[in-house]
Amino acid sequence: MKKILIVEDETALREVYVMLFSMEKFEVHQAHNGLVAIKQLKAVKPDLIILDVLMPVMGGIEFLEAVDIQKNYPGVKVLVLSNLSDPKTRTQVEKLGASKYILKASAAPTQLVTVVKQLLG
Amino acid sequence: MTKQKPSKKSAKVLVSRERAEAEALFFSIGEGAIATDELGNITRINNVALEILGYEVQDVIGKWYPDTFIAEDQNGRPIANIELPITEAFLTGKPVFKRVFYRRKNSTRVPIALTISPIIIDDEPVGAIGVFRDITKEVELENSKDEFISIASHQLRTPATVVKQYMGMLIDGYVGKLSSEQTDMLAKAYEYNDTQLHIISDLLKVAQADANKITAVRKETDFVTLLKEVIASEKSSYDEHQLTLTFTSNPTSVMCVMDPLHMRMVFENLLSNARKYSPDKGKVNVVLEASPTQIIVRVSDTGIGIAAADLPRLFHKFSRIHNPLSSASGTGLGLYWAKKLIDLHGGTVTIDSKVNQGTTFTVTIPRDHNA
Repeated sequence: MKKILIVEDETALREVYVMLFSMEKFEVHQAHNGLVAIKQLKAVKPDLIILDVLMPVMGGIEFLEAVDIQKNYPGVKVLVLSNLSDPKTRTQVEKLGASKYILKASAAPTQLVTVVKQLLG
Repeated sequence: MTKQKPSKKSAKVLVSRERAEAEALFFSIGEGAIATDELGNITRINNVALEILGYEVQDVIGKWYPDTFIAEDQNGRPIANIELPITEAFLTGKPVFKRVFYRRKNSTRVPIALTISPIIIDDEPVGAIGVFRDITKEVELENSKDEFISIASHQLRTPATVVKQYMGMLIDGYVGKLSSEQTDMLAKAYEYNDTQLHIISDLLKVAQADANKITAVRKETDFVTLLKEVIASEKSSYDEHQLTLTFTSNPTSVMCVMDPLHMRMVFENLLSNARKYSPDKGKVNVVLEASPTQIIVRVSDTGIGIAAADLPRLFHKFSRIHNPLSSASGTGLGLYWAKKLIDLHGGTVTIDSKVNQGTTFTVTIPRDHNA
């Protein structure tokens, strides 16, 4: 069973993503900020991380900078799910190793599932 | 009382009286007032103006207006002499209204609403009068309103996104098969939730633009390819209404420096408006012309047109023009947003419209704008 780590500070949103991917038969873990996500990443070793950008304590960009995914976790895919539509943020997270960037408000559940399955091959 | 021919003496009294009245008006009105001669040198200033700008009368009389009260734009950049309201008033012979910032004597900035009117005698400008007021409080109010819209929209977006996910999961059968009635109702709810999210996103974009937080990420882009892509993305909605969408361009490629994402939004907006305001089977033409310095794009439709009375408020925030062809109402932010993006690129947009005949939007963008 593939493992997904969902990093999202909004509880209601995190809950719905957890429900969606659990129903899709993934092993789902969650974190409400980047700092908790670092601990989870080490403990769980997920196959894919769904990552929000703006979060209190530690945001998605700081998380990516801190863990250096490409170097330390080369097999782990990162799907960034954010409401920030500016190209600067997108370029920045892509440079830091994110495989895909989706706008939160425009992502339908089926689209999220399709992208996650594609990323996991 | 019998009517008498005015004597020379009474005519002189009349002139002196008029002069005294003008003077009293100048010095007693509640707004700042500055008068200049034909060269733009300050000849008079009232107390309100001195108070707003923190000067003494002897500091300014006889000095050149543009050098004494330096007008700046929102970003603190001095406005070039040729673009100053006083220059425009002298050149056009018409009153000019503008919001600018002035530096006080103590170098702090004050936002003001300024009207400069030229004084014309025998078709020659012999001076100008500037009347202005301090709009600090209005600007503060606008800023807090923008901030409120921004915070409220942010707060609305998460719950609306959560609703979208749950409804999407229901529609996709995650918790069991639905009847066709249930699917239909949920599909409607999903569609309106999507509209809600679009409105929220528009409000946030506009709030950002109003707070000058939008920056263009400029890069070399082929305008012809960009327009072709926009047209291709609109095609299916045009086909649905049997509308013909054509594109003509004299060059096959035009490179220019601009933010492609912003320009895409501008033309998506114009094309979607042209579609919404055109009856089925109508025509929409996009024509691109390029000169070495600028690009001109005309979007013309054979739609219902815009009444002359509606034209001035077309680019205003939240202004919506009644559309008899559609019950769905927009946010009234699309054209406001499009104009903001065009302004950001140093461009202009003009409209030519005839009711029941159609509308043409003409967008002019400099090919290399580095503001």
